[in-house]
Amino acid sequence: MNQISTAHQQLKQADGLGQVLALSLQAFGLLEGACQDGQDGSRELFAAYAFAASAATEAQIAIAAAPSLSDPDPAWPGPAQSVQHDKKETDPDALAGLAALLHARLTDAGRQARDADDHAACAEAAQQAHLISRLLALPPRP
Amino acid sequence: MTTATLGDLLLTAADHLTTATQRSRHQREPGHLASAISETARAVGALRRYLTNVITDSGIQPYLSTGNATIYAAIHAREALQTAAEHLITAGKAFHHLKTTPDPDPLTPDIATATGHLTAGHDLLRTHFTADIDGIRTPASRWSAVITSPPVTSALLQEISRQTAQLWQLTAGLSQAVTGTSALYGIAPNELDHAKHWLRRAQDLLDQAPSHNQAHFHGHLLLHAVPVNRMPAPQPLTAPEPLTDLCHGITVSAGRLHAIARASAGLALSSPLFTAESWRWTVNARAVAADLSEILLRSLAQRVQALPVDPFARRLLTAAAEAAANTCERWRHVTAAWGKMTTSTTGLTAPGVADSTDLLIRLGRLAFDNQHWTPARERQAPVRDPAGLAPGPAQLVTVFAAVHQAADALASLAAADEQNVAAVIAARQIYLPVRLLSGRKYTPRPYGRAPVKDTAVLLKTYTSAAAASTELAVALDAASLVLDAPSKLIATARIATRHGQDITETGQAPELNPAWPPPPARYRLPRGPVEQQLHQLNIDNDILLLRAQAIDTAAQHLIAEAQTETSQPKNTPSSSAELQRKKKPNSRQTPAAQSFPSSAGQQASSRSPAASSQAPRAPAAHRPAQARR
Repeated sequence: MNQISTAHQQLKQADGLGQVLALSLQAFGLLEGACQDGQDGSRELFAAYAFAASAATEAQIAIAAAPSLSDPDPAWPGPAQSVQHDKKETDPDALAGLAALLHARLTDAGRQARDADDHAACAEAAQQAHLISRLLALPPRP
Repeated sequence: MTTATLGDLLLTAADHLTTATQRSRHQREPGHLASAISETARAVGALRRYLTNVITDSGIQPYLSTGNATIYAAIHAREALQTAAEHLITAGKAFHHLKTTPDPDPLTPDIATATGHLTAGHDLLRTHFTADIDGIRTPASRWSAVITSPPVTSALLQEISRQTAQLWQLTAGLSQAVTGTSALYGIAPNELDHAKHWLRRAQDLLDQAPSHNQAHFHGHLLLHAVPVNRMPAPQPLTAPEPLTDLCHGITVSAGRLHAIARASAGLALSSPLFTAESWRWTVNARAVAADLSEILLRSLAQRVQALPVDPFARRLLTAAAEAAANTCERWRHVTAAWGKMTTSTTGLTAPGVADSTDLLIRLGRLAFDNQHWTPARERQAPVRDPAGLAPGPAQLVTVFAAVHQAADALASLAAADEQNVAAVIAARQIYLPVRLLSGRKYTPRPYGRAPVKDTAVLLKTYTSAAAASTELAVALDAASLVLDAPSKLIATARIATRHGQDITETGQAPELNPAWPPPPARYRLPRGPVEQQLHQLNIDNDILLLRAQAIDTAAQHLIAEAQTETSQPKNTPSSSAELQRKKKPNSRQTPAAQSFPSSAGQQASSRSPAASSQAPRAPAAHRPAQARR
């Protein structure tokens, strides 16, 4: 199972606001790296990957301000360094799927958040996830 | 609908004055002559006001230095016109008491129309400046520096001289008509003679000004192209748009972005609208726009071979495409340097985001074969067939001009952004989420100041990318001259306003004026053989020199291409396009990147995040375009 699939699975099973935020942060880090690598691939998708990568960055910045984000382990080197995605993992369908799940989970988490800052962080990150999904997904086949 | 330019107004005025001059010698009632003479006085007054503008910023300098002889001549010519106008007014009053029926001959309306157009032209020029309480002018548009540049000032003085000569002819005709009447005209003939004398004097002064023979054709080109200073209305995206509409839309967005760049430079510290999110977005937009420009320029270069277009243009377009690829890479470095840094406010709120989006989407719709193209994957399409993009030379020039306008506008905006980001960095208003830093625990404050080493890298990447953007615009300048594209105005304006010229502008310093970003002079390489030859011939025509630089660049391209071809095995691709795909345009050994427009990009390369150990996360080492093909 590759990292995108793993992140997808973990996020699906995440429980509680803190965990959703932490896993979302990691997932956006993965998306950012994958989208940066994706820019070196198909010329037709350069713009989609470029804006998706930026959206993933904005989402991480938003989540980092959420008070309910659990404290990192002091030994943890930080999300940007910890997530070493496989460079082959730039399949836009997989990335769009992960982004769609992020949108759903963060929208739910935002609804349940009691803290205004948590709510704002989830809403902002969910919006960015939605943007990534729209940039990378193909329209559903009729 | 096109907007009238100064040239339109001046030409119309000249036409009406010519017609009026032809009618002026006709016999007519004295009362009719009175109105014609009075109207001529108004026309002289309108010309005088142009000279007032020319000398307005010079203060007492013309009296202190012989280096201001042109302005000195303009001052005296203005006084001569003032005196001529006064004599004409006096002459007109000599007939004023004579009642008359309306003149069936449209002499006076012709002069009045000319006066109206001259006045409108003067008003048009004034829209490019604001004046403070002391009357000191401050530039109000990107054209301000052009209007006050030596070539355009010289061209304007020549134009005033020509119109003055026309007014002399008109006055001579009126004088002849007056002496032909049987009315008691009193002092009128004398006054008309005095007016003629002072008109001739004004013309002589202007013709003897040192600048008189220095107005190269580009000065006249620019003078006639000066538009009224107003931001064009946005042109909302519709789909599908034909190619010409796409190109027009790009030009409109470019015009708006120029105005925005000018207005926003230096405002970042005082406005919450300038956010890291906006900057990150615009950086991305520039990278994508450069990438789309590269696609378009390569298509146009390919198309040149099949069309009756100067084949030399192909090499210039190829050089410009490489500059576009370099620009794209530089902006990707900026994205990487931003990392997770942010500002105290968020949102896509900065001025220019909407217009950059419109411009980007239209460039995409030109480059790709989908009239509904957007960056989204669901709208992806193959690159448009070059034959469909530019079926004929006219379409080729139209598409080229749109790419040129876009690149020039994005270069202006990049220069403004560089200033703004530098100001925010200097004020230490760039932050980093504390929890995204390694090993940091949660603190009550979620953001901390970004490390200085990170912001220093960010600023260096901005400087490098902004320079690359300007290089792209300058590379397109050369091609615009060869293609005789309407966007050659950009090239001539950049030349006219380059640093080191004796610009009579006051107010905003040139380095703070992102309107026509000059190529970074410190990176200028030695002259090529053709350019050297022109210098040896004492050729100082800037357009010719720019073309010479372009020829040298093209020659180096040809040699590099030939060298590549001879070093390839037999079964390797032979077409230019295929060769371009195979080589590394950003290699330090690539001749094109070493010559035209300058090597700023290369110099900055060593400072880029990819080459720096401080790099946050650099994009791929090779340029994206190469890998993507």
